[in-house]
Amino acid sequence: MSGRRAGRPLVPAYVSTGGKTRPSRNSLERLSVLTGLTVCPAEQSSGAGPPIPLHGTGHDVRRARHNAPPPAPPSHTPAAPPVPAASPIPSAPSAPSVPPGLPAAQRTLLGTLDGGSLTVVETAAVLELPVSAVRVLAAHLIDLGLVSARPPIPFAAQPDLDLLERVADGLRALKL
Amino acid sequence: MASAPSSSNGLHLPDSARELVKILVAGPFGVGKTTLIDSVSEIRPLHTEEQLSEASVAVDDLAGVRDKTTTTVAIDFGRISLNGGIVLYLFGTPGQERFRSLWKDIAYGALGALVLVDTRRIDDSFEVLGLVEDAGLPYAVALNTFPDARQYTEEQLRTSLDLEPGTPMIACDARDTRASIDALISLVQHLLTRMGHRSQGPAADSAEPLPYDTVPSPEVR
Repeated sequence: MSGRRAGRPLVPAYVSTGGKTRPSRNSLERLSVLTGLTVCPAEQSSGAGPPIPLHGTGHDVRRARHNAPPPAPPSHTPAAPPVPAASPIPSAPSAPSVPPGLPAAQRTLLGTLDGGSLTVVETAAVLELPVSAVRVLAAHLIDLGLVSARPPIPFAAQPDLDLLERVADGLRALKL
Repeated sequence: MASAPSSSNGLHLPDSARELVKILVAGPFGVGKTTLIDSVSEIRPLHTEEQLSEASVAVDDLAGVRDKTTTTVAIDFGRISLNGGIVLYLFGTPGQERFRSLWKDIAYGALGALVLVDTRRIDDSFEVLGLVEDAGLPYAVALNTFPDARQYTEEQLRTSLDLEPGTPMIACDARDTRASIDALISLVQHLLTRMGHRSQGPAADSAEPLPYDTVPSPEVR
């Protein structure tokens, strides 16, 4: 418990979820893996979601474009041209299109996933939202077919002996 | 720790990540949870801001928060990629009773807990040990060694913390990567030993109790 930021967000988390406080599904754990099935055309945090600051390599040109000073007013209409389907999403033969009316916070979440995978808790940390809010946002995106989710440990409710042994071996290997 | 949130650059899970497991690093405020996480995490520790419900605050006796409708707490976490597609997440979990509502959620699915104890403030650890035990989490105790700490014998500490004989207790400098990894290894070995005992049966051929050299003796004398 540390690293309290200097300022509190002025916008309460429930605003980003449109007032919803319960997710439409209850299966999302902190370590559930969210995978973006599509990339958001021109994601931009014009709404409740905080802007995503850029660190390190700005190899993502699309995002770097938005690294410009304060986010421009949401001049881009929902009819913004979709990103060509050359995106590296093997499992999706045709990436689902993002509905025009998708709320800003969900757009931001989709942009954070950027076609890749993140856990719920990492998504929450990046978006500076409570885990509970990300659950609500992600559940809606899953309902829309824009995001997939999988449990932290496939096909097992409980960690088994074999998994624990591999964790122990993996930790020992770190010391080599 | 830097306070700026990270972007998702470099955070994405590799495709090889198959199993995600979680260990709690629990302890009272200022005991070194984030230090330990930072010393082993491959990412700079991140945090989420969690909101405590009004109900949990109402039963709290903190004078300063009484008039707030909600209060928040930052939960730090880090991650370590291990061989074989395992990704281990470490969650720094505050040990105060008023965070009980959060515990259930954070502890869900955790392998176990590493309880960090500052031997200068042993009393501060009672609450967290209670929470860990109530959550049903197996745990190991790591004594974060501060230079100005009084020296106790292992027996004194075990008695004071009311530990079961099988619970590992090890000394650990949370700033030291290898020491922190060692502490995690003792915890996982403890979990293996427990599970080995539990699944000892005709069907469990590999469940022989492993000949671990019991509890590494702490360096406190």
